[in-house]
Amino acid sequence: MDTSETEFAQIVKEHKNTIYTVCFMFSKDSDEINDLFQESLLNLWKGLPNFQGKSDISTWIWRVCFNTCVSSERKKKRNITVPLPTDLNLFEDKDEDSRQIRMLYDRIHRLKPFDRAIVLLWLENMSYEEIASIVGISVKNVSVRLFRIKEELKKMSNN
Amino acid sequence: MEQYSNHTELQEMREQLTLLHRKLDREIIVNEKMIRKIVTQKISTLDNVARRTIILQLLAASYSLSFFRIGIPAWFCCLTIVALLLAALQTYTFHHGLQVKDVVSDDLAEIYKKTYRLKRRYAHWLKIGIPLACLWFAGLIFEIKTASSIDEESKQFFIYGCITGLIAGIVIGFCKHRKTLYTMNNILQEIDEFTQKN
Repeated sequence: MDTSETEFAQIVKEHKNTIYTVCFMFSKDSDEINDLFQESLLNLWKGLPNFQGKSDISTWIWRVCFNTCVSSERKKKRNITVPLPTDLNLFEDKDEDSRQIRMLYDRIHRLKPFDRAIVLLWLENMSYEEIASIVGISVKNVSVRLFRIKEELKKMSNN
Repeated sequence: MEQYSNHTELQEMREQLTLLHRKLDREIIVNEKMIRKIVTQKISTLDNVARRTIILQLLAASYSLSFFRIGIPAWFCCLTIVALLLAALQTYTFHHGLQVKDVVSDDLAEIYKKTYRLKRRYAHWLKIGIPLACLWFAGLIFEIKTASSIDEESKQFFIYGCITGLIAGIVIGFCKHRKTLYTMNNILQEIDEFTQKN
């Protein structure tokens, strides 16, 4: 591998959790996670030359992953991709941790895609400024939306 | 009490997210094979639809050179060629602003705005393009019918050819239009609630 490929591999390995978490929250099954994950990697690879360190690398990765998941065309025919080297199937695994994770998924997945992005970033303990920078809205807008999201989550659990 | 229950619920979600990260830490989700596949993918500057359209437009422009030989007036041939070259340029410009490598680092709001802008430009272009195409086709049929250097049998042959081309063009154009609209609407739908100004 040359330098850029090594750098890319390193970035992906360090941030695999972020990439997988976003893809998981925007997909409906494990095949879709696979597709979105690899599409995200492809977009990260394509965008790496243009990333000039203007923002923090993790901010950039969040942004690329959200863009990929939100913009991804829902193809009827699945692309033939290299399967992810993991047996993890959060949609079907029966252990207690997976069950808890599915509860989180159910709550977040009921939100609109834009709100999913905001709440995920907030749950990751990001500041309002960071969330605003990743999503592209004002800090005030983040605050308003988060308030609405919390109200919506409350309504969901009451129902 | 309500604030407390909301707070514990959000705390629970944070803990569930921590569980997810812990689970993912134990998994090998990426390996060398996957990275190898990604880095060797051919990155095209234009998506397939745009590329095929531009190639078709350029081929049509070069095919239009044959109009000179069958007796169609030179001004009509030049107009056709210029129109097709402009159409190819228009296609390139439309798609160039929304390429993956250009927008991959943009925020969601910016992508929404660009997609919305592209969709509007596309709709405006259709309002102009379709009437112009009808006018051009009517002009072509007229020029063929009135061309003195072509015999009657050949005129029929050309006209049937033009009608076949028109039908093929309508079908291909309609399919392309549907696919492009579907892609743009899909993106807009996903982030549709962003209508507020910052």
